[in-house]
Amino acid sequence: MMIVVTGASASGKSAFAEQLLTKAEAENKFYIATMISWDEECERRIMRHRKLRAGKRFTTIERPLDLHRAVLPPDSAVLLECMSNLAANEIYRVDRPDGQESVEEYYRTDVSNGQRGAEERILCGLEHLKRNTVHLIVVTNEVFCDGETYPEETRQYLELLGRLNQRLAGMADQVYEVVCGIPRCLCGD
Amino acid sequence: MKLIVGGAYQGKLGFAVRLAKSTDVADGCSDSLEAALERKIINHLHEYIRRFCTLEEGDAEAETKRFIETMIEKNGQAVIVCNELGCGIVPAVSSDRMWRELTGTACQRLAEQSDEVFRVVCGLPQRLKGGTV
Repeated sequence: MMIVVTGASASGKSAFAEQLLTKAEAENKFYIATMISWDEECERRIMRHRKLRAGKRFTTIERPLDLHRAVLPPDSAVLLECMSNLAANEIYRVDRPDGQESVEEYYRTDVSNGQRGAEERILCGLEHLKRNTVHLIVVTNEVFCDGETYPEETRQYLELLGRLNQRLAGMADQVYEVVCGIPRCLCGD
Repeated sequence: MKLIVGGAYQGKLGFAVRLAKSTDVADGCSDSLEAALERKIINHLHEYIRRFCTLEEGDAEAETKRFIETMIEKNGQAVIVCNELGCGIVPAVSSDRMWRELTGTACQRLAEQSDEVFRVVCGLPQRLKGGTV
């Protein structure tokens, strides 16, 4: 069973997604965190999310890149949070010459190649998770509605995330959007 | 209490006026905090919250929480109108990020307390809570 949970920033989507993971029937429960901590504000955000999860018996896996490398035991339920961070990490990744990925240093090089590679890598990672879990919950983000004009690399990032969201909805059994803490089912039961 | 959210310029206030059967409005762009505790409709709630994010002294989160709880206590029948702010790229300015976060959290709290919640898109209200959803 695959469920996608989307919503704006501070919509209550994380809390709803965690409720879904709590209710899922599985021997093992994992929270895959994609956010990299850059500064104190990121740290505070991460701490707030950890507090939300405290006592819920999820094992946290930090995986900002390369979802396909996540190793999971049988009978696992996974909550992946979140697509906007994963997309940014993948589109701006830098592969070091010795073949090891650098997750600490990001700068824009050839973003168009980054975008194509990022979409393929992320979809491959999502399919890997779907195949290897009994329940998969993916949190993604609504970042498309402010009408601002952004620089080209931001536009490419938005396009990547928009395309991923469409693919996610296609793969999922259910899709919810959370607004002011209220989940609305957009498709599925 | 009723909450109406949605993007800018979608027809939220017009809907609020029809719902409240009143034009007694406290506007977050121009009216006092006290007005928000008395009038039948509170418009531009996000603009009230923005004031707390631009304070030179004081804790924006605590002040926002206090304002929202006081509103719930003293103006529990109000129709509240708020823009959805969290639907874009993360803002570069930290006070804008805080504004989005505090507004989102406030709307979750108000939605919990409201017996009806609507979202207005293209002038069309969608019922999120209450009545027959």
